[in-house]
Amino acid sequence: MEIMGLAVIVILLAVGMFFVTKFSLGTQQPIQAASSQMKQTATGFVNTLLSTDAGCGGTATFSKLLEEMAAPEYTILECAKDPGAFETNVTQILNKTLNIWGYKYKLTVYYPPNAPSPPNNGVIEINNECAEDMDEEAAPPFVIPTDYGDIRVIMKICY
Amino acid sequence: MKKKSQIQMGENVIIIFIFFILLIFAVVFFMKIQGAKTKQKIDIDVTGRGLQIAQKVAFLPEVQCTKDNAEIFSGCYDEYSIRALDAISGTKEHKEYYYEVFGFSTVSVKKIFPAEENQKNLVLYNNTKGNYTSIIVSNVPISLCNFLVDKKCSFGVLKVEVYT
Repeated sequence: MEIMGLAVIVILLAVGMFFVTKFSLGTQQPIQAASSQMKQTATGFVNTLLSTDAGCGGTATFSKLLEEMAAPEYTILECAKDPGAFETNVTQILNKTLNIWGYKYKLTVYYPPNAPSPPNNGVIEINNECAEDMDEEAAPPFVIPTDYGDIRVIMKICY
Repeated sequence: MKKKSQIQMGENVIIIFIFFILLIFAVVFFMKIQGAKTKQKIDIDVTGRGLQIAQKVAFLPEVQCTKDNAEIFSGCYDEYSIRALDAISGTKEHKEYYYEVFGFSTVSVKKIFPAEENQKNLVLYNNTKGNYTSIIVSNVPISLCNFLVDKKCSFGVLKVEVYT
């Protein structure tokens, strides 16, 4: 009789464990969906940004602006002589997009070591509440080839 | 003997009572989990539907930037084509034509940068569901290009609102 009781307890425990496992595995799906959406947003944002008119007059895009900012002494693009030009214009876009949509992000531009006089010692960083200990989803680095080497643009979305 | 049987009977009743209480707890727990999972699944499906519509817009030949019948770059939308669609988006024929592609949703585009005064949303499609319970919004960054006049691209946002 006691063996029967023990068997019932074991069966109940097994059923309980099954439900707990099923529930904890089930929550992985929304996390994966959300992280995939973040990656898509980061990729779409940088892809669009680099082909957008930089607001410098002429047909210069943000990609061209970054390229010209590597050597402002040789450029004919007026706004490329201002080391804060990229940051100022991109912040205007970010204020109307990722900031409103509630994303935490970090946009970083790395200049090649051979660039003659890049802004901010070769690294431009725009950070919106992205801390070191947070998880992140990053777009693949966008590369802008120049005469001095490759400029890399990296967008990370943190959560 | 009679008293011993009565005690055993009482024990059995208590055990069965506890067993049913545990069973009720398990059923309530299971139903709560199922409810939460169903809600999550609906949310994922609807969000996915929003992104699916955004993808469909990206591949609409009506709005793509093209040169010699080839797409210039991915994520590039022709501003004049979008303006033309905006002008007819309120007509019945337009809604009927695109209903199979977009269903009950609103698809609009807004120019973000360079900023222009009195910039209004350009509506590609608007078919609101009568008694909807929720709206799921998906925003996708896009390039709004004008290769006919000044060969410039603006930063825009494609907004898809799906009604459920």
